[in-house]
Amino acid sequence: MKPNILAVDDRVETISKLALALEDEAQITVVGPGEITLAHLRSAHLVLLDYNLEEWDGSTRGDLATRPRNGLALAAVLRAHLGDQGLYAARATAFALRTAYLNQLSPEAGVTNREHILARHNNLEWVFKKDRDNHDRFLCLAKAITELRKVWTRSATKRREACEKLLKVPSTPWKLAAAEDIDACHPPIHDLAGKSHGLPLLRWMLHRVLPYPCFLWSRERLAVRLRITAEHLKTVLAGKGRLAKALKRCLYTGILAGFQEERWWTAGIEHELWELTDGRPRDPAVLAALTGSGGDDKREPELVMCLDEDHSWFAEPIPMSKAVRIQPDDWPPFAEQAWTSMELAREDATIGNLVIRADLERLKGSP
Amino acid sequence: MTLRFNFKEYGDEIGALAVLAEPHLDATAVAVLNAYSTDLRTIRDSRHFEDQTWEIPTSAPLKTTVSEGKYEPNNRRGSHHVQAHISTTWQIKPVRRPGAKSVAVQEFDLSGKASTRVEFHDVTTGNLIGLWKMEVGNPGAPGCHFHVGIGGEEDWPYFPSTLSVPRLPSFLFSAMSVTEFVLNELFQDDWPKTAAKPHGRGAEQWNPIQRKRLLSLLQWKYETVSAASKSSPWCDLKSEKPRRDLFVEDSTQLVRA
Repeated sequence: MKPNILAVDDRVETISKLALALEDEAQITVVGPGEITLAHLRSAHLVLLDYNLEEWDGSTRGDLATRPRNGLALAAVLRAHLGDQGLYAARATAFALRTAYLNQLSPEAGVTNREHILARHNNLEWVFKKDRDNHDRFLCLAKAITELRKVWTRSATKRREACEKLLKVPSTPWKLAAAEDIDACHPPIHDLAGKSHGLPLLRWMLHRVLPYPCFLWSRERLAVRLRITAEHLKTVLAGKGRLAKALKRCLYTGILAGFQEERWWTAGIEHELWELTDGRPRDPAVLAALTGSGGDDKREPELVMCLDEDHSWFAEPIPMSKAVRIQPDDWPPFAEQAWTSMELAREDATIGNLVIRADLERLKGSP
Repeated sequence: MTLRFNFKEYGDEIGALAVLAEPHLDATAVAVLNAYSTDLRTIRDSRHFEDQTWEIPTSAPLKTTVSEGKYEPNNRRGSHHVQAHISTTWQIKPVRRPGAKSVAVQEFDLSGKASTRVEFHDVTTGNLIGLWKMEVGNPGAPGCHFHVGIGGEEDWPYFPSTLSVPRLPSFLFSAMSVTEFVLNELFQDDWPKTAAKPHGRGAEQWNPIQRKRLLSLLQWKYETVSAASKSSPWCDLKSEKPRRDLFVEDSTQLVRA
């Protein structure tokens, strides 16, 4: 079944390319804000709104309360109409914004480029920045809604099973470990999931799981675990060796897979490494032999991924001894510890202020 | 007779200590403990029912924060600034449960070495100033089953590696309970306050695990000494070996008592 995407823009011609690009895989309806009907809303899996609606005269005419100033305000109006029809409680519908200027959604330093944080704090499933081709991600999000509608259940006792089905937890020896990891990240499948038809679960994946190192690992985090550079990981993944095959078995293929590049099951990686190293999965020399990285036993036992002042990951990990722990405001408590480099924490007050109390002494110490 | 333990209890113990002891552990500890816990779970799910090594390697130990002489009580200060490095090696074997292959593994047997090594480093001089190991003996080994050995593989003037005695009696043997012991030694005034913090700091999970284990152990020692024997009570205690299920038996009654 093709998902329906309702694309709303005050300049319809600017998103006609979208309709063309996705016509094989989705049903795209492109309308101006003034043309939206309840029928459009009823059929949509994803409502994709342009943030800037200045060319729509509806945003400037009539009573103040009837003039949504931008796509964000219009999303709230449309969601209320869906609720009025009883549809919002009956099945999930995603609302996302497209904008060229993410900073219009948050004036806070450090998060202006973080789409997931902006979406979470603006009651949206996602915010897409216009400067890149997002067609695949529009489709991925819309497909996630179709999957959610298919699998989600009102039965409280079957929601854990539905969650595992949506995430496609593989039937492997590490299935139990993966399920334990998911539980530790508190999926909203209980008291927050009664009438919302699984939408909180989708948001949890989008806003709290995929952007952070927890039960799924990004390419950068995987490289840290293997003690290789992100560049070298590319070579490993492109190869046909036993490590490449093992990593392929751990690739996440569940709901929203590919929305933020590829992810790997943490539990799967640990299991495969245990098998491939005969129970020595953390021995640097054994890992070096496995990854073909040549081995450098002088490297520190622990490397960490670090965040920069824009809350983006450093290109490569650094030794833990040169890093300090930070606590960004919106960092999920179940995610792995966040770190930044001592050097950056000293240079940049914004990120320096995030350093946890226990590491302040180290920061003051020798450079 | 080998000893049997519960995977979940040991996993929970690591998680609880990571939270409870966080103010007294080095920044690297979170990764060390996470790896230690993850490896235990991987062994559980490996479906290999033979000996496996579960460890915190000496090359990447669990480190405490530096105790600036706080090993003296009542706000006095010792002259050394000490950091402990804790490493551990246990040879364990998951216990296959009867039934289908998919039946989850819950317990493991201690099948060989069980040793937790503690090093004290003076961070001012960089010198190693203390070293001992808290161990569980092999079934046939002499000495107390749960004991402390002084020194290591290094040849020092005192307690060289060739001298296997004394094996001082002990009742702490898991790496995490040894860690608590170390923290209490290094932070004489601070650790009891940390451990006494109420909800949300790991104590609600930590305390019952330790209480259950200690009660089982002390009850066994009590029974050993109580039993009528022609030998001296100490010799009985030294030679007695615990039954396999000592730590997986239901100890509810002991806790209530």
